[in-house]
Amino acid sequence: MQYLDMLIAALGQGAIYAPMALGVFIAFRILNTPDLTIDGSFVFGMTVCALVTVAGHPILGVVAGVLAGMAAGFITGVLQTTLRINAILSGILTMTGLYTINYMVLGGQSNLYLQRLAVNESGAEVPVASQTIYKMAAVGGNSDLSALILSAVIVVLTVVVIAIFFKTRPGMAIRATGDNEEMVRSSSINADRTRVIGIMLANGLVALSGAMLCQQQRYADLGSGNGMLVVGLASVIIGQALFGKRGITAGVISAVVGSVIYRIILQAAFKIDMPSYMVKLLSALIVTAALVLPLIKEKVLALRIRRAGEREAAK
Amino acid sequence: MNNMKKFRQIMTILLAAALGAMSLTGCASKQDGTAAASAEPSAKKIRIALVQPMSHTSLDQIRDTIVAELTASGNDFEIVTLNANGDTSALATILQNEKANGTDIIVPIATSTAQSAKSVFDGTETPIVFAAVSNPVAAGLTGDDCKFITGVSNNIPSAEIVKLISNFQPSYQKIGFLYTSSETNSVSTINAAKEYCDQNGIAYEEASIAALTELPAAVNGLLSKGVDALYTGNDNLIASGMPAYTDAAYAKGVPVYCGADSMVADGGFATIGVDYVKLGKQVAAMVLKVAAGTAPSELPYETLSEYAKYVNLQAAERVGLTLTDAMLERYTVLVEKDGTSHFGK
Repeated sequence: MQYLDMLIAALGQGAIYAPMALGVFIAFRILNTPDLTIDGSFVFGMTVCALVTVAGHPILGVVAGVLAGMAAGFITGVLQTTLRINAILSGILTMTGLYTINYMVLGGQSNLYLQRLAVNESGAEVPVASQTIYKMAAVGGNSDLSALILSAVIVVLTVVVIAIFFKTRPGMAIRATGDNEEMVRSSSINADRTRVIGIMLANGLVALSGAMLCQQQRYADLGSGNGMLVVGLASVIIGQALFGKRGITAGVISAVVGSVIYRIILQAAFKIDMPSYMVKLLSALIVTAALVLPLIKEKVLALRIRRAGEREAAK
Repeated sequence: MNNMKKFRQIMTILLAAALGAMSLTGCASKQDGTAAASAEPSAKKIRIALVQPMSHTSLDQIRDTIVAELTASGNDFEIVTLNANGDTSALATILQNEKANGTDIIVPIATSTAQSAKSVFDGTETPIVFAAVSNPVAAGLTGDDCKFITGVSNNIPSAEIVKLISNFQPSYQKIGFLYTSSETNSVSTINAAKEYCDQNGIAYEEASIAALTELPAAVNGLLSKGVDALYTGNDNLIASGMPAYTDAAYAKGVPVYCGADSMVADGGFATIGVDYVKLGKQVAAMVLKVAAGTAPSELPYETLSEYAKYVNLQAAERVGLTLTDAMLERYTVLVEKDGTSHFGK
């Protein structure tokens, strides 16, 4: 029972961070662009969602969070294309600027709990918790389970929409831009525009994760974006190690699966009684192992081919 | 053929993962086993989990004090300390593990940890005793859905700041607040203090700076408005310019009160602040009450009962303040008359 609870918790967390992994996948794998906006747009989705949720609109809050992330992506995209600023630097600039914006969104504080002050019968001001999508979905006693189901539904819908999108003409144009920008330009597609749309899409997904997390944990905190990019990259790489480089749909699914597996590994790492400061090193090792795996596969394959060749030659 | 190979590769990875998982769960369950065996004769040990978001001198000090106090209490507790090491996404993971482990009391340190604990343990009856949350009401840790939550806030009430000033200058007329406009912590302390002064009819003036070069002019501006006590909160920029600050103020015989002991060590006159060891002791006392069976709903959250109070005797001499023994009661001398500093010892 204990392990089942832990598995449900890990799956729930994995599902919340899955759209973020998907966003990282789109930026890094499909667009071939190292987009460092992610740490900032994750929090931007969170803060904007928090603000709208506190105003009493939880579903609208998630939508607003996604739109906020896309706006952040738009800025990075314009910096990269129209203003011709280096891709990494563009992301860093947007992320840095977003810190101030996020601070302002939260009203000059670093932490906002999803509640508002209301006057009760005796005339005193008491905090009243805001409605969230996870509370709306809560049925039965196990809140972790209902949270997991809701997150899973959102993630599955997102995956389906994204997978279909990448089969459409604009989606194909984004993929082609990442593969070979010169070719795209020569076929008179506006590569700048497809790139901006791609980055907006990626950051919108990252912000979706931020918004979901905000509603699930019921607070927004400026520190929440720290290290998100590494988590996203680790998820993408773990997914790729499992699925290999295949079609676009498999790629999209692999990012989501990677996110879930990353959480399970993390949970297991915290479960065993090792000093908790070891976890950082462990996650670095896990990512390194996942990164090296394709190379080892390649080497093994090359060795086999050479052996086969030698055998052929010996005949 | 190719498919076959890929299948085999995937199987290898899955197998490796499964083996890894088995070895992990294997050793974990073994530990559970031994714990259960040793605990079986007596009652089940009370498991207390301390969770902190990252390592930081003051957070570590709180954690170590709580652990020391609980261990010294003579109870047979099973105490675990967990650290998210700056990865905020790991907080939920850690807390969910503890939920699955059936922890009896959870002690989250700092605001976001306490908020995560609230959402993870929502719907359970596990008591949560938080430490070092500056504003529990704004953080959502009070109210109807927080029956099992209590703890100790590390907020310094504005009244204490005013008390600090009136202790040394019973007949002060006007306080001058000086802060850096971009430092939120400093600004919020001053805002709260201003509000308190407005409510209690205390006269004050304020000045803010954006760069250290503006400091002497800002201090002299305040002094020309007739302030006879200066206060600056835990302000990093001004803390780095204490000599210029105190030179300007002490030349006019006006003492500088501040929000950190390091600022007193650098020339400030006196401070009232958070003593993290005392905070930890207060939290530990609360945990012991909860462990003994008191319902958290009967324990409202507490603010610090004792503050860290430091005074600089050399600064007092420069200002020309004569300090009586009654004034110095409960204050620790951080800098002696001859300039000997006890800071950091």
